[in-house]
Amino acid sequence: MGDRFSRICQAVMLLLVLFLAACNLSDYRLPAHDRAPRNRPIQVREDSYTSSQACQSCHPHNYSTWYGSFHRTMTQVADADTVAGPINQPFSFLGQTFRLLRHGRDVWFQMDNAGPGGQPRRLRLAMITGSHHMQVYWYATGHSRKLGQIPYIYLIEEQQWIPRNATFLTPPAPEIKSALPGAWNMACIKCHTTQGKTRSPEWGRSKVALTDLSFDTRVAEFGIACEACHGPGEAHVLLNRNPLRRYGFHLNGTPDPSIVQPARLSHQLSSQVCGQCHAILEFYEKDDFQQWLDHGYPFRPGQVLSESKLVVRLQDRLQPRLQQLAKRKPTYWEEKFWSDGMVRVSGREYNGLIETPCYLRGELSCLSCHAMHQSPEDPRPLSRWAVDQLKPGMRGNQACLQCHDSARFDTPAHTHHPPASTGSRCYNCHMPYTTYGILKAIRSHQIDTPTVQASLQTGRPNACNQCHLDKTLDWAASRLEAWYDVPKPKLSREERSVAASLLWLLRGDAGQRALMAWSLGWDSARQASGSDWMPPFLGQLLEDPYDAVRFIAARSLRRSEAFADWNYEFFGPTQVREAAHQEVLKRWRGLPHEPDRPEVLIDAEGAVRRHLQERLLRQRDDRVVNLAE
Amino acid sequence: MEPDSTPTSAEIATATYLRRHLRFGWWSLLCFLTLGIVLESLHGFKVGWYLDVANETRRFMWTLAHAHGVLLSLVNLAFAVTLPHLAADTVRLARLASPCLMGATLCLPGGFLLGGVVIHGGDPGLGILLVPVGALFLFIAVLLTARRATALRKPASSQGPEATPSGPRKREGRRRRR
Repeated sequence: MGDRFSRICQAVMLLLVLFLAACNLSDYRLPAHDRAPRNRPIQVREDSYTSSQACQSCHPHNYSTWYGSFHRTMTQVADADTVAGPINQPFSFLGQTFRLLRHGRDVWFQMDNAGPGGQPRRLRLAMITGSHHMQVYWYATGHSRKLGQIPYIYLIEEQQWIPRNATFLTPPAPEIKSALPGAWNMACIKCHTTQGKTRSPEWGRSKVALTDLSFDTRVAEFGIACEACHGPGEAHVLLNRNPLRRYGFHLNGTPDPSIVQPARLSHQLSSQVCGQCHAILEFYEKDDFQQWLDHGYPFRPGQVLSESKLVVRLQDRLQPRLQQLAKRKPTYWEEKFWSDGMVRVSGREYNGLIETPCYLRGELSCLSCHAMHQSPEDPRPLSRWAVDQLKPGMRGNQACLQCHDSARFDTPAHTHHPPASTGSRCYNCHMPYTTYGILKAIRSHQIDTPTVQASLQTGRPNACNQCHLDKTLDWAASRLEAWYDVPKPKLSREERSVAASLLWLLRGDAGQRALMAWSLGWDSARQASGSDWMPPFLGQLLEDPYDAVRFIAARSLRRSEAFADWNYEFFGPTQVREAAHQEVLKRWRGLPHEPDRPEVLIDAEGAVRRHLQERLLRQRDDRVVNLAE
Repeated sequence: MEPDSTPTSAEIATATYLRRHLRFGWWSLLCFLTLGIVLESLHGFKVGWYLDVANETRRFMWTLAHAHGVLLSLVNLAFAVTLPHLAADTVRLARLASPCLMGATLCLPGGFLLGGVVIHGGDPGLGILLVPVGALFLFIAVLLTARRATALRKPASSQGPEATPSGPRKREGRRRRR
């Protein structure tokens, strides 16, 4: 009896040991693509990438804060949980009606009457790009893993659908167009996934048209996941199955060399981790492009970014590769930079950072102000931190006072503004809203000092006039001269007499008009400038030829209490826009506003000086502006 | 002949172990139930040091400490109740199984508790080293007890009087007479 019992015990123990050994030795990676759909890009764990799932158990806090960030949801598989657009709420553009429908977990985009015989045409949503400001929906084309774009984009905060071309500052187009099929596989994948590989076998063959390319697109992970910033984690995961190794690092406090920790890199290298996406980059050679198509980016965190990608800077424009690009597309530079080389499009903050003296001569990096994982000590809700991923206190002057002397710079003697006012904030003067993207103005990440001279040379709004919207360039130049000995430039009659904001708004290019349309809705500027004079000029922008400018102007207009309920069809025909403008003027005339303000073109009777406004409008810079993200 | 009412040394020892485990089981049950109440209070007051995701490991460890502590306390009580029913050499069993079981009741939940005090991300503190020691103690105690339980005969109806609760005592008496 005893012997038999012992044998059973031994057998059980042996089985247990074998089971544990098998668990430990077995490859924990399952072939992710075996059961994956065949009609859209898929996630595959290869090239030493393991996915965030492997990080969660050892780094629960970091995983959780990343999970709550918009980096994770940059790309998602579309289903009932992830689609933000309202279900079965029709919307119309150009006489056609659309709606989202739900069948089980699937979400479909229906175009009423678009199918044969007036039947509805339905497309099942496969993927989503974006989750913070807007969602772009993609469907499976049925041709390899190629995705097609739904031509309407859902704005999350506004809870509104808009045509896809209206989300970018692009020249007016007669029709609503979606991106070419395959645009996700070729373009979005670069920065909206972790280690994406387009994999198009026909690419480069002369007889295959772009639209006929097939794709076997795969990524390490949808969204910007752990390994985008820490590098491939397979070795780290395997090595740290050994508890002795883990506790060795815990007790010694030494960093684990099997994984990259951006916070421990130099300020240049850590910023380049962010720069792999937040920069204007080009391939050096055609072969590099082919290499990326097949195998993904060769850049890994901790490496020098410029070794694998060309970081585009205006000062390098004579470089043969950049000359080649500029020759192919004459507007190449102006679509990305102001004429002095400061970046003017959003999402390219690294380009601004590397031109900043604090980076060049100091140790400023992205991580000086931003944290990719919310600190456990940060009292803000995760959702609040996720908006801009700023460290605690970095919304105030603390960001700069980490290095700069508060006694010298954080005083009215330097700021010339009351201590608690928005004008005393370092970033309101040194990081004004001069980049454009996703239907708004975004702070420049090239930290510099405001000058009127730069505004005259480049057309870029200076910080003074972007907040003091009712003041002239002459006023700003005089203040800068008196306070900081900045030489006052020579100004024209209009620059001395008309508010700079109106000059940019009425005679600027579409990029300047978009920035002004946004600035007239910026609370700080409205407080500093008064807002009673603004509606006629925002009304003028409701007739702007650029969809995005009209959209932003309407949004700013609704900031005024009298227009909070303003219903404006920004994508309507010309007559609708003109009628909207007239309606704004009519309503504004009935509102109290201060008369005799010549800088903002208000005469002694409180009416707009139409002749001057129209004269400035005739000077409008109508060159084609294309500020894509 | 009058039955011998004087307790044997084995009976005395068994009674001693029984009392010890009853006492130990009930008091440890009280301790670990109290720990449970403390943990519930931490939930009630939403204490970040316990509930935040960054402290997920601590929460897990202390939950395990509570669960293992309560369960092992009950095992102590079960052990105490089981002792008189086991075969003749109860004392020999108890001499080893009893300290092992008590050691396990201290080491297993204690290891989880201490392991949760200082945590390293997803790893508990070094106190967790007590857990495998406790697990080994528990394994030995349960193995010994299970073996003794296996040695029990079937009930009297099929196997005769020896399988009754008084069976071991009779065997003990026979041995002494010899």
